[in-house]
Amino acid sequence: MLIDGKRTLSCLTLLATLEDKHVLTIEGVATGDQLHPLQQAFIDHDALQCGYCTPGQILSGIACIEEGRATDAASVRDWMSGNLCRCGAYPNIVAAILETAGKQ
Amino acid sequence: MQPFAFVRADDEESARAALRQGARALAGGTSLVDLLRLQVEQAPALVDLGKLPFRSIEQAGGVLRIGALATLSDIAGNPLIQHAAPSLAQAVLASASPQLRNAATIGGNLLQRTRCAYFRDTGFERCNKRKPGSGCAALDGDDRGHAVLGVSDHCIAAHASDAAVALTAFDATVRLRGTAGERSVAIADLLRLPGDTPWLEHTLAPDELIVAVELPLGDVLRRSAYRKLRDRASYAFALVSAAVGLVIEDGLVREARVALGGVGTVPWRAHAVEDALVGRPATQSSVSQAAQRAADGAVAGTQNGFKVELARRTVRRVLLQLAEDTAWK
Ligand SMILES: Cc1cc2nc3c(=O)[nH]c(=O)nc-3n(C[C@H](O)[C@H](O)[C@H](O)COP(=O)(O)OP(=O)(O)OC[C@H]3O[C@@H](n4cnc5c(N)ncnc54)[C@H](O)[C@@H]3O)c2cc1C
Ligand code: SF4
Repeated sequence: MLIDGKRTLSCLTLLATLEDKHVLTIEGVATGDQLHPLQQAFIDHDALQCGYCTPGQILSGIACIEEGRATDAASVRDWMSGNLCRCGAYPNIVAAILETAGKQ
Repeated sequence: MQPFAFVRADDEESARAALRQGARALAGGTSLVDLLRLQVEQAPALVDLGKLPFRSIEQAGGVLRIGALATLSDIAGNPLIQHAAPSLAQAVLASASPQLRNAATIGGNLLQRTRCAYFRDTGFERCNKRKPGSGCAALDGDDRGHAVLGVSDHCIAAHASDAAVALTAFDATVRLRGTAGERSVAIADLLRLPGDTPWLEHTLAPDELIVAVELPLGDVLRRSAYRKLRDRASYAFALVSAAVGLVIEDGLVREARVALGGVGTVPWRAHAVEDALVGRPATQSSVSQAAQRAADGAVAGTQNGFKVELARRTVRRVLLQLAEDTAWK
């Protein structure tokens, strides 16, 4: 999730520490029925299989682009290394992020 | 996770009051909440330090002062640190992942607990750190990731911090404040060797807080680098890491600093390498010879013996890299 715009692990964050903070989870990423461009790119690039890691991948990907790290595949791999995908959809995840960042 | 009380400290005194009543300090939570969930740690109460004003990074005279609540991201992205303490910037950038670095603080990083798998899994009976007197499962178990320096018959768990290695190399001190007043200790005096009490890991009094880490600035810190070797290129703890500083003048080594990570039960300063370098020519052969001393005193187990040679080669590699950087000569 993003806390005040910064990606953070929800599993290690106590809710009680978030008073007065802005929290964005996958539920808040789309605008109504309009998917976020990175959500659409994940569909277009088939960037998931089981989908378990996908909410985290997308929020981390949004932050990765925002941080200016989605410059090339190597940089995306490095700055997305905290998000594991046990199905191994990595190449498609990297492609979806690069496309959304406008680099491909 | 066991139920616990949650207290938000509005100021230092209210934090200390909670600590005096047995609460545990909560900074980024990336070590403590993890271990509470695994039921390796128990806490009747947590006191959230998040509102305390310990987050600034500033230069005061010849000292770089990093507030205890500065995150690893704050440190990695700080231009002053990138310029004046490259080995520290590189060490924090090589730590964990972007989302962890956004939460993890430098104070918590020093006090983070070991990654020993027997410690982290309550299914294992024997772990002196988790259950004093129960024995050590790593001694006759999987010790590939464990320490070879500073070990004892009671625990061989490696200290996991990257930042602490750079801080140890460059004589950082940790500023502590408690009911009894304020004091500064070297990292070596903050973190304890396991000895026969591996469950005692640091020398903080129960109501003391880390308020800042202070790093003396200078040539050797400015000409420094950090190298981390691990099983994968990113998001993994060190097998071996080295923080090294080197100042060469007229072909002779004027100053040298070397500390190792991944190999010690605490961040390990390699004084023998430093002594072998200072005053001598900075040639490939003298540097290689000095690096041979990197793991002096090492005691290997069954699977971690490779760390001894890897430590020497890592130190050699970083020394040569620094020596070759003509811009710094
Ligand atoms: C998956 C994963 C990978 C990681 N990889 C790395 C890595 O590669 N390199 C590395 O160095 N680290 C790594 N870490 C560890 C991480 O950097 C530490 O957990 C983090 O720095 C701890 O800081 P925190 O603020 O979250 O501490 P917390 O979890 O909040 O606290 C840790 C301990 O310090 C105490 N404490 C915290 N702040 C203070 C204070 N100001 N005064 C007194 N006591 C205090 C707490 O009471 C607690 O005992 C990793 C962690 C995870 C979960
Ligand atoms: S090495 Fe230390 S932490 Fe690991 S099992 Fe032995 S006593 Fe426990």
